[in-house]
Amino acid sequence: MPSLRALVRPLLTAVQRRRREREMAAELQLHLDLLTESHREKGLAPEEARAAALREFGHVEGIKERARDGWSWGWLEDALRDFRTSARSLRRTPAFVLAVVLTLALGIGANTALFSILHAVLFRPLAVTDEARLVVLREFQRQDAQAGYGVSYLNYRDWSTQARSYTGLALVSVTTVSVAGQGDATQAPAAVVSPSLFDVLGVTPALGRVFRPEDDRAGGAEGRRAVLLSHSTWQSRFGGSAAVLGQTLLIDELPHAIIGVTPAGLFPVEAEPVHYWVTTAAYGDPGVSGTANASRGYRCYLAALGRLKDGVSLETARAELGSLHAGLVAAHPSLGKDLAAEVTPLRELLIADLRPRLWLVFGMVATVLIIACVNVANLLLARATTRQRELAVRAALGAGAWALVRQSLIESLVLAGAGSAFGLLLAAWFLSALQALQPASIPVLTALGLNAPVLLFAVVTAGLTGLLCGVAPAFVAHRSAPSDVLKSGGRAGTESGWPDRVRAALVTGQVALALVLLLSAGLLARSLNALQRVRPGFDTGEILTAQLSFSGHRYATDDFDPSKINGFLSRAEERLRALPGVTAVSHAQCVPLTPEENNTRFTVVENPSPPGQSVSAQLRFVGAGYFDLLRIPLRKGRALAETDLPSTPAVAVVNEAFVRSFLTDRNPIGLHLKLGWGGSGAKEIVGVVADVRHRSLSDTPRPEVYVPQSQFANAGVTLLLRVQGSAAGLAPVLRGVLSEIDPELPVTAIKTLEAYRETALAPHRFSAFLFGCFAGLALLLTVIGLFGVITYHVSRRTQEIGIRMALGATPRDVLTLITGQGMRLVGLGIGLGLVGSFGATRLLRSHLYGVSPTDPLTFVAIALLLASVACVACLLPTRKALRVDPNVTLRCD
Amino acid sequence: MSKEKADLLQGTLDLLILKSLRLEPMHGFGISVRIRQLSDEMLTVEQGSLYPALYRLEEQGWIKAEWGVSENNRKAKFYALTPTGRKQLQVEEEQWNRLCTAINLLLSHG
Repeated sequence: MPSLRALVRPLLTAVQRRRREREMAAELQLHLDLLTESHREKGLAPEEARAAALREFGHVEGIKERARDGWSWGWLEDALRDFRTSARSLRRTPAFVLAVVLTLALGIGANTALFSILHAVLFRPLAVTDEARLVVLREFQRQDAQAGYGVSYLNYRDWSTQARSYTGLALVSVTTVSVAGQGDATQAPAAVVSPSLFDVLGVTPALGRVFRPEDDRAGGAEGRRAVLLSHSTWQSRFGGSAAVLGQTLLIDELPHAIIGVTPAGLFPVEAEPVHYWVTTAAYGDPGVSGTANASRGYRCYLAALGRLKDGVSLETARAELGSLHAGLVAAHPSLGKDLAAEVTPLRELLIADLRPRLWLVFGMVATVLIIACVNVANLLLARATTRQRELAVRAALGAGAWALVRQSLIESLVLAGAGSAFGLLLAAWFLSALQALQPASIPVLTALGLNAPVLLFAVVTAGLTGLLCGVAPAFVAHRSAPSDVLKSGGRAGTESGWPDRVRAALVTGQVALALVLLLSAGLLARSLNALQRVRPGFDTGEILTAQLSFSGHRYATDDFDPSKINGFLSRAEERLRALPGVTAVSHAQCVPLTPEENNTRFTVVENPSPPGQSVSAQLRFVGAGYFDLLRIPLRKGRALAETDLPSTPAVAVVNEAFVRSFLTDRNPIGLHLKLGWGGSGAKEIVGVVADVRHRSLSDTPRPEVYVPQSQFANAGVTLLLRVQGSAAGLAPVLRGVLSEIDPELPVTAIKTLEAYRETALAPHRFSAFLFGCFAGLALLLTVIGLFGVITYHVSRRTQEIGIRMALGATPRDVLTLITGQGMRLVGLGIGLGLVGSFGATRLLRSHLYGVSPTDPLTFVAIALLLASVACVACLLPTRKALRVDPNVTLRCD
Repeated sequence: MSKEKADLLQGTLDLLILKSLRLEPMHGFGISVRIRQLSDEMLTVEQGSLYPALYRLEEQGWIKAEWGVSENNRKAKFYALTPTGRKQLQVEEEQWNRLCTAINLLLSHG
């Protein structure tokens, strides 16, 4: 067993070297002196004795030199010597070094950058205690995927009193609140949570205190309700001052006391999704009918968060919730028997959407790295083959096989080290570029950086890369039989043995991998193109939108009377219509291509669904003129109009998808709908409009019900203005008009509809861009590799080419011969790549829109592209060889 | 009168050094003197061979060096046998004897 000492000793001896030199000098001097003395004792004069001693002793420096051979400096000195030898021999070939280092830098840099993303998204721990025991409890409809996940307050309350698997449960939801009382009135994202949340998460406040159970009621503990600031809001809006404690904020126009500040980086505050924290009291008193909290069927919370007790497994918790929930559904038939509940580990939920995409990307850059490694291995192999003579001489002079292999490996490790150093620079640059380009859907990207695990990854990758690249050439070094190599004069005449076969195999594999990447990029580009051409069903032309929030009490009424909100809207729209350039004005609860969802259960009065089964559709509150403004065609009946008022009969318009899904065999006009919310009375269907892609461009249109905002006062409203000229340019005017009518009304997100479309396209653009970059890189590396191998091949066959031409071969014959050999490899690689792609591109399926994973056009086009680029890479070096005079090639060595 | 000198057989230097250290630790000069004396002036060790051999033996762990004071009151490096060195001496002595016996047999039958 190698002891620690054995490992440390070489280091110590290196340190001790100077001491040993000194000691040796002293020892030899003593010997010389004693020798002199012995001669004097024999009766010689001092000078003669000294001269005799020196004669007898011999050459002191020669002795020292030989004595040093007795010292062993261990592997460290061997390695240092090899390192110096490598550096010397590499310095002689700067072009080779540059090619290798750049290739590795690209490969390692890309991998490091991507690992940094993976690390940030998948592995970085949350700022909570023992995250692994945190689970998420949610309800969902078994038969109705689009109904979404959530938890109703009353069901949560029953779970938390009956469940035994958790040390605690807490409710979480995210909403938008208006904030006033300190500085400008704004709208801000806020979390609505039960006071137990902070216990469940196991976090302590950065300042003040967290919620107590008594905060969770309308009055709050101090006569005002309680609000917590998120850490970054505290810093940016309140200057990080401790004096904020006890100050009053108007949250949705109600006085709230600031009681504390949450710790920095707390979930769910990744990239700060919420600025304020309020208690579940914000959703009303569960004891008062009509509030969100009082509805057992209204899943107004995102989820319940639980901490599993020690020793309780996920399976136990799942079984328990399953039986609890079955009991609830049995006790409350109105919930419908399709309602189920599930338990999911928190981490799994957080990364569920991103994981496949990130692993895909990682697979892609790993492929690029492999291609880069293959290039470097090929270059090193070529170098090793031309250096066979040098290696053979060294072997003949007594260098052991291991010494030669070690030399070769150290050389590739030196190159990999240099490559990874440049790679880190590239990664740092790439990450900052990526952050500039990132889609908003990946908030964690803000936390990117080259931290310790990332650096470790780069070092390990560099080491592995060095070994991987060095193995083949080291093998050549190992296999060199000195006598054979020296006899052959250090150059093989024609095709020679396995290094060439290895090289051919490597190039073939490289072409295959590059093809897979290129195909993926091609498919994603086609998919992006298809998405950009998607007709969403509405016109995104010059339309400006502005989000308003009427959630405060100045606009609220006890009986959902819409008159105050409608009053504001009609005044605003009247003024806006009068603005020059504005051709139409309307409003809606949310505009298409925003992530907001608004699902409701419904029944068709004339055609009720069987009891216990519930159907749902998307509910949209819109103003008169909405369909005209967005150019959504009316298919049947009439659109919603100015004449639909609270006093007139309740009406609704449905889309074609709704008719297709629920009313295939009936004329929808004149039927009546009862909705889960948005007014309790039955609404008469007065029209059918064409489908729009509301949620996303790639989404198939879903059943939708439009009801007039004028008949139900929804507090969140988005104004829409169709503008002649530049819509974006009108934004300041719009803001001015709105603040003249009500300076305290929070107005956010003044954006053009086109901007929303761009946002919706961004993730797809991002994927296509990323894959395009890396596939381009892979193509470049492959072409360079191919070019290098053919160049090398040709240079070794210069003599053969000379002979052929001397014997009458035309340049065309030679060109065909050499290029043909290269293209055979390429053809084989493309064949393998195509076969592999049939499997690999299937992984892309969920990322593609409007194009099949085995789209023949893409496959053929990309294969042709690769083949023609490869053909050029084969032709260039061959042509160079042809320009050489056969006389010269035949005479060279 | 000069005695005939015997050539040192390759590999025997180690044996001679170990043998000369059997009784007491000695410095390099002492070892060379001891070898000359014990061999009745027939064997001399070149300094150029002695010191590399000493360092090699030290590296192998058969002898160890310590600084002491020489007879002329100078700082000197004294070499001593280690326990493994002592065993190695035995091994080398046996090997040598077997070799000698074999060579003698060969010569006597010639």
